[in-house]
Amino acid sequence: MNISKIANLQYFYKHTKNVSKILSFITFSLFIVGIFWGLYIAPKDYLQGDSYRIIYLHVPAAWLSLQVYIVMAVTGFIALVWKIKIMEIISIQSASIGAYFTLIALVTGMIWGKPTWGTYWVWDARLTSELILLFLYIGVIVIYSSFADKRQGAKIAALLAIVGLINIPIIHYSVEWWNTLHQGPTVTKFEKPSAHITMLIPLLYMLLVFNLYFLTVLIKRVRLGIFQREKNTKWMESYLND
Amino acid sequence: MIEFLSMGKHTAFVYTAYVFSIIVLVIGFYIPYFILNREVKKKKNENNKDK
Repeated sequence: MNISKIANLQYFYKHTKNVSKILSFITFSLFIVGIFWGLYIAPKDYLQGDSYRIIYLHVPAAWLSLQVYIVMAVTGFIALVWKIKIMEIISIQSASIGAYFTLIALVTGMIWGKPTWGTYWVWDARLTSELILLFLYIGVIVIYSSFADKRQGAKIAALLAIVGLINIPIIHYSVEWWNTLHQGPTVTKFEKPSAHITMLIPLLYMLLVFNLYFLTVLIKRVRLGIFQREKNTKWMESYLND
Repeated sequence: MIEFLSMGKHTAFVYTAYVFSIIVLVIGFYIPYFILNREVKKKKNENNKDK
C-alpha cells in the first residue's frame, strides 16, 4: 500500500469506513475477553489479594497515555515542518484519546492506592508528573479549540505538544530518579519481570487491546477531523451525494 | 454466582475501577461516531435545502 495515498485526506476518508467497523468489532470482542481474564481467570495475588486486578486497566492505560503523547508530539512536529495535513489532524485528534487514557490511569491508580497504600493520593513524582500530563493534553485541546483558524490553532497546539515531550522521560524514570511511593518498574525489566507469567500474559494482552482501541478510535477521530475541514470541498460534496 | 463475582474486601474498589474505565472507554469510542453522524446529516440537509 502506498503511504502517500493514505496521507491523502480524500483517500483516507473514503477507504477507512469499513476498516473502522471491522476494527471496532475486533477491539470490542478482545476487550470483553480481557476484562473477563483480568477479573476472574488471572490468579489472586498472595499479598494484595484481588485489588491487584486493577492493574489490568491501570498499567495499559498509563502506558498508552505516554505512547499517545509521543504520537501526538511526533505527528505535530511532522505537521509543523512538512505541513502534511493528515499529520496535523492525527496530532490534534490524539489529544482527546490520550486524555482519556491518562484519566483512567489516574483514577484507577487512586482506587488501587486506597487499599494498598492507605491513601487515594500522594504528591509523589510519578503521580504528579502523570497529572501534569493530563493538563498538557487538556492544554492542547483547549488551545486548538480556542482558534477560529484551525490550521493556526493546530500549529500552536503542536508547539505545546513538542515542548511537553520533556515530561515523558520524567514520568517514566520518576520511580528511579526519586524516592516515590509508587512502585518501580515491574514489567519493563525484561530480563526478569517481577510479575508471574500467569499475571503477565493477561497484562500484555490488555496492552495489545488498548493499542487496538487507540487505533480504532484514532481512525474514527481522523475521519471526523477530515470531514470538519473538507465538508465544503467538491470531493466531499460529491461523496455525500453518492 | 455471588461467590464467583466476589473480590473479598476489595470488591467495591475493583468493580468501581473497572466500571469507571469501561464508561470512559465507551464514551471515548462513541463521541466521534455520534459527532460525525450528526455533522454528515446536517450537511446533507443543507445540501438538500440548496437544491
